Amino acid sequence: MMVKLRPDKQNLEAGFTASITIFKNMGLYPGDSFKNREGVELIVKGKEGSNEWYIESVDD
Amino acid sequence: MKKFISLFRALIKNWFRSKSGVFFSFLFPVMLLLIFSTVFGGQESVEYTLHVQNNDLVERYEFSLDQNYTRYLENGTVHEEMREAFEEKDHTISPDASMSKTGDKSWEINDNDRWYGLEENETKIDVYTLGDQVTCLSENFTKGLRKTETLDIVTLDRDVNVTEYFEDDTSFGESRRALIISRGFQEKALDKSMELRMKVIQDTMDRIGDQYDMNESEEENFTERQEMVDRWANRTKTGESAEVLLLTSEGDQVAPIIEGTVYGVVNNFNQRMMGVEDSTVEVESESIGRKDLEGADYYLPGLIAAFIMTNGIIGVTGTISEYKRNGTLKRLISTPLTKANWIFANVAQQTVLAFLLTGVMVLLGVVVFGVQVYPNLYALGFIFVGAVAFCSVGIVLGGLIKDVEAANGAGNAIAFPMMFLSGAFWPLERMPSYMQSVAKVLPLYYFHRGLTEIMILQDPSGAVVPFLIISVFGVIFMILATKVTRWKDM
Repeated sequence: MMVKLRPDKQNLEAGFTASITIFKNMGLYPGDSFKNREGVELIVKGKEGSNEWYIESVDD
Repeated sequence: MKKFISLFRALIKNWFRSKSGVFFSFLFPVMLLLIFSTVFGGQESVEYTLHVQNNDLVERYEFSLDQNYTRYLENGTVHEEMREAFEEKDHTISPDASMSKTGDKSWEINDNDRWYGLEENETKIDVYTLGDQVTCLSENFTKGLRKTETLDIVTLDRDVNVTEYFEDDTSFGESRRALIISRGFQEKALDKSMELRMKVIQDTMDRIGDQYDMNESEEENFTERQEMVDRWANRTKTGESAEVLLLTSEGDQVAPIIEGTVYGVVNNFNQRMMGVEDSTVEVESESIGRKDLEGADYYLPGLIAAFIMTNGIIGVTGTISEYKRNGTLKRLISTPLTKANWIFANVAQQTVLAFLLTGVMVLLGVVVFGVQVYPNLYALGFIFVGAVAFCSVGIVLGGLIKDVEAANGAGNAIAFPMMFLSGAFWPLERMPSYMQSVAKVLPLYYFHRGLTEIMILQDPSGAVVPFLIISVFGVIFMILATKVTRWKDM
């Protein structure tokens, strides 16, 4: 009945912003690109001087 | 479904780990139920203290003066000859004493706190002082006050200055209320009642004269008696009514109750003085709710409703804010959870808390206060609808306001005024009329009214309108919650 709610890069969408730790827990670093569950290709971006990273669509 | 259950369990566990969450959701309402039911729900009837000073004393004959002294009966200071005559009878009158006329053949001398009454007879002047006994009528009036179940009568000595008495002693608190029965109460009451009785007789005779046909001799006889009554009526005219002075302090919330009770006793007294033993209208009072309800029974639905509302609005907004602040929400967003999972898990958590809260409150009510009312299926259904509705408000606030502190503040700003303005903690009738209008546009008003109808009055049909209002309110906010919650962007 119970499922573990684990963070997974396949659930992410463009525009997602979170702390660096959350990205690292999913094994993601700035410059990494991957496809989410819907098949959209995404890329991790870092913000200068910020402790948050974000996701962008590669097409953008 | 599995994801929903996992999140629901996580929310419940997290809530139990939060000491402040448990305190404000359970212990705080429990404390309020204990305080409200103990302070305002006592079984003993409430009595309010009223100090009574009866200055109407029976006059006592002291001595008589020779008729020659009639020449010294005049308004103003007491003539020296008169003072000397009093001195001979062992009654010293100071030069400051004043004399005044009180009736056709009656005078009085006031010398500081001493009083003398003088009555002219055909051969002499009788002098009276005040005895120690209060008059029969003033005593009966005090007894009438004592008989009411509302007043606790405390007798004040006659030498007490009431204003100074209350000012000197701070221990009176709000019970600075006094009723002063003036000297001459009995005499004036008797004179006035005679005057009024004569008026009634005059009026009755006028009506008889207007309504009934009489022959010549009857009419002559009747007119003669009518004239006699008119003469007596003129003779009994006094103009002055007996007076009692009721003193209450400003801001005394009980003053209107005291005034109402005193007026009731005065009216009854007036009727008795007019010879009315029976009443034309009798009031029987019966409760329209269940008769054996205690104070806790009345507070229970209001408190349950109020805290389901605060748990829904403040609790959910607080959870969302906390999850945002510590990054839990971002982690949840990056899991397979959907927006629907998030919304419904929160709603489910609040519904379970609402039922738990209801159970704890009712259990406490039964054990501590012997509560006679239990939430039935209708009440449980209404509690479910209420929990969903107010939780939806919390989700809307959490989704709409991005700033964590602002969202928390908005939750408090909405929930706390609504809690106090809706009449959940005290009867709406005690609030000013414009506040009552405000209460009636608040959803909490309909929530606790509906619960009261079901749980207290056991009339589910009376809760139909409140149920419909809260349901519509819930549906609107549930739709709003799904619209404003941008799950991947929170």
